Amino acid sequence: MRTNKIALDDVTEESHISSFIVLCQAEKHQAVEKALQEQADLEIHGSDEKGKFVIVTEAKHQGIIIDRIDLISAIDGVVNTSMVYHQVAAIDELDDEIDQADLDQPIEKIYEPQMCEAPTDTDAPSQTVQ
Amino acid sequence: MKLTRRDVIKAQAAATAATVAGISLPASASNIITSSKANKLTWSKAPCRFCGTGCGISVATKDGKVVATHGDEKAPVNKGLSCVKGYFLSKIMYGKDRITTPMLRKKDGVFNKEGDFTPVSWDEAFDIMEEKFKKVLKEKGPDGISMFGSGQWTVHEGYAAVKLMKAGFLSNNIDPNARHCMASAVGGFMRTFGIDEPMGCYDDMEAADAFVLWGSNMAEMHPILWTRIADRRLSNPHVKVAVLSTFEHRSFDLADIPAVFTPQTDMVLLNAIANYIIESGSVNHDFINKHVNFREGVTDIGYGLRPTHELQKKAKNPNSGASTPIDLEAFAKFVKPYTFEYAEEMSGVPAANIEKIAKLYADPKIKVMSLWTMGVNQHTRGVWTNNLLYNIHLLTGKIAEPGNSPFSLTGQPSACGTAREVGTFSHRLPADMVVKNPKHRALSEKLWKIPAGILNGKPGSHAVQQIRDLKDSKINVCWNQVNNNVQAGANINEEILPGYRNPDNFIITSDAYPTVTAEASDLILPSAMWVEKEGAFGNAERRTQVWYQLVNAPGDARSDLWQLVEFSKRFKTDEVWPAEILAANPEYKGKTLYEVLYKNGQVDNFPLSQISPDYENQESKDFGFYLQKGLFEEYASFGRGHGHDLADYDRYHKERGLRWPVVNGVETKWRFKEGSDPYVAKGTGWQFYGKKDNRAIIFALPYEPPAESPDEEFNMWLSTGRVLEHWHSGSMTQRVPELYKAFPNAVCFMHPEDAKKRGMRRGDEVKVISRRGEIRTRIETRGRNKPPVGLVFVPWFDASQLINKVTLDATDPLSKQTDYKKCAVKIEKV
Repeated sequence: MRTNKIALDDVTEESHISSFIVLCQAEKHQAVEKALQEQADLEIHGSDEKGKFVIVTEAKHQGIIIDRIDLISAIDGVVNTSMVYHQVAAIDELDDEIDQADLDQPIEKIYEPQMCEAPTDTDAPSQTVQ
Repeated sequence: MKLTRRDVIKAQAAATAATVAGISLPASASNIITSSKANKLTWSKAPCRFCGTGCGISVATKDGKVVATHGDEKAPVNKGLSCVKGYFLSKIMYGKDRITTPMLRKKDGVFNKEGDFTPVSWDEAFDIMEEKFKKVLKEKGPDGISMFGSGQWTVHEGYAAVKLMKAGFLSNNIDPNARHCMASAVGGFMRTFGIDEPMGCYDDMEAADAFVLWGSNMAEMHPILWTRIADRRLSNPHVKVAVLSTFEHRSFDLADIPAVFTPQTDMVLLNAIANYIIESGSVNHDFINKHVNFREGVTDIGYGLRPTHELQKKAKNPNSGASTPIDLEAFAKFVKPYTFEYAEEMSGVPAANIEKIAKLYADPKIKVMSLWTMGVNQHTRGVWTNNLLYNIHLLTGKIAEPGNSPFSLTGQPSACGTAREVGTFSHRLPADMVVKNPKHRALSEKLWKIPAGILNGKPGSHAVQQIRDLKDSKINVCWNQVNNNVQAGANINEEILPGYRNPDNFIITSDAYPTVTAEASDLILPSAMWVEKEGAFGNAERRTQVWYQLVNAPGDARSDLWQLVEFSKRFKTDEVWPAEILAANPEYKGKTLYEVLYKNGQVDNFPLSQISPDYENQESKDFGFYLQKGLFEEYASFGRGHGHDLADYDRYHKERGLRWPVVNGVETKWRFKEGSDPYVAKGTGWQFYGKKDNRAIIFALPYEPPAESPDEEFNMWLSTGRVLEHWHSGSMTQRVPELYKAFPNAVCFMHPEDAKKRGMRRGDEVKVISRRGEIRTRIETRGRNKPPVGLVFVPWFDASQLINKVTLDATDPLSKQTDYKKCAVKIEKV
């Protein structure tokens, strides 16, 4: 089995949370799902019958994320891995509990890029998160 | 339920990816409800900092730092996706060795060329620059100074730079590093169409039935565009992909028709396809009768080397782009010797495969998109090869409509928007105008509000010439911005370093990081980068994109724009303009260049109140007016009404870019075609309006051999290029540790048989030796790049292994672009 290329001394006080989309051949959906589940540190947040998975992962170093993407790409049936979201945060903040008062808005509300201009009708958020 | 900040960020990451994928997340995920307070980020848009694709990125800031990025799902270019370079954009500004103060070589408290870099104030930095500029201007005039810029300059920076050099110092010695990547493409466009940049756009990728890659490894270099092509191919079984290259790379994974050819023989293949189109009766006669002229170019034009070089002395028509009119019949006769059999013999590609590719072009029912980058442009016949590519699209009329598209890709984020459209080349002015043309100069003088007759009509020194002039002490001051020429230029041992370290010369480099170029200079100026300033880029499909300053630059780092405009305050017209011009135009006397170039009643027309209150703008606040808007609007006045129309500046802040010409507020997807281009008259079908008679040109041009080919001693071809994780010379990506780890050192990719023949094994340390120099590296016989027998490939991002010590500075004689793709080397075990 392959090990991560990143040496321990590269590890910082930061943590990296990333999401990506894995596309596989539709007929190999189940086998790929199983292989993804077996891989440590990957969270499957959603999938569809066309062979797409939404994966979230966290690592103390971005290089580890690249390694995980490499391992995913090596799974039989995986066609492509597309990177989408990346955020850096201080490790000691991540375990902070969130105040209930801050939990009153659904995701689609906050996830609207805050352009300085008022969005036009055609610019309205297109999120489908339920 | 207790939730942590981690849960909230993960939910946001998942939601963003789900949106891009078009997947609804299951109910359990939606239970994690969050709010802006829980992960308080401010999101804004910006185009990616890296390549010429021009992906839209959503950028989040928190406490004055960029902390998160993701592909902008509303950006038409990338639809929410990101490649590995763009994925880690939030890290590029926070490398440990970021330069935050000007640094001057000093000994005993004063400037000394042999001294050590010492932090100095901006005042001290500008003092020594002013002294050096004024001394050289006095002794040698405008030809003694130079500026070397980049396709990574923002539109505003490139425009301010070209204005300072050409209208201020009256020197045309300004060139961008885009000379090394795009000049042949520009030459090809100007020669065939008379107007620069692709007629089509990325929308062609969803409309084409066939894709042909001519010397481009899109899978690694343009991964997002490659995803669009892969989607088209995989969801439409009839679609075909042909990949041509001098070695096998990752794009071959998707190739229905693979073709590895001997360097330089792409010209043979293209002429063979033209011959097949004619012989198979596939010429679109209606199209060529109405829209095309034929010409034959002069041949034996040399290799753009120093005039004293043997090869250059032997050439019959060195540097000539002359041509004479011919007709279809003469053209047919010209390409007749280029049979598939001859093409196979020359290129090594089996005739059956050449025929398959030729049929993609010849069959009128197949919509075909040709794509190319450095393989065609970094070529001693780069302009010709661009011309030959247009030939096959013009012969068949497969051009300027959805899916039929010869498409020249770019490597830098604003190679088109800045280097080309603004005209930061030594021979150019904004909007495709040139310094040689008196009418163009007169128009520029009027729009710039400077005295008539003041602009210099002689083209300045281009990139390679500047380097030679520095070595020869003809140029004594050079200011570099956003480039890494000591690593990226060719023939560094014999030309570049001697010029930089020449005691007569003073070299200034503006950069965010201590590149080898910065370290070889005398003064380093700390630059703000990407979203540390407001800017605009123009991508490969003519899309202009604007972004706001989102964070402040660290320490004393300032944008290149601020540096240029601030420095202009130190010169009076009386010091740099001819006395007779000032005598005839006394109103300019005693004014600073800042006053005549920037605070000129045009650029300073827009007050600070027009800047969005939500964003910083360091330069504007310092100068007291909305500098970026003023520069953009003055620049736009060059192109509006001339086929280069840009929208009002403010509109770009609201759009994910617009493709010019933008006429009556509407962008243009396909130029030259009636119905999609407002400049084309009704009833004409097509108009190639870059030429006076609205006709594009098909050029008869032969195969000519490269400047250097393998022989008995130097028995291998060397080709160079880049790899996905490292963008160009790696001065930014190598600061992101994980990108560096992914591909830590350059290696020499070699065919296992060649290694065996030399008694070498994978991992062995070797020397790659040419007639000019050598580097040490390691053999790689497996992996992502598979050269054929007789060729090695070395990527050139690694500062510790400068492959350009080995490459030849042969250039295309017309575009002056260096051919990094081929020279002869030998490989020896260490």
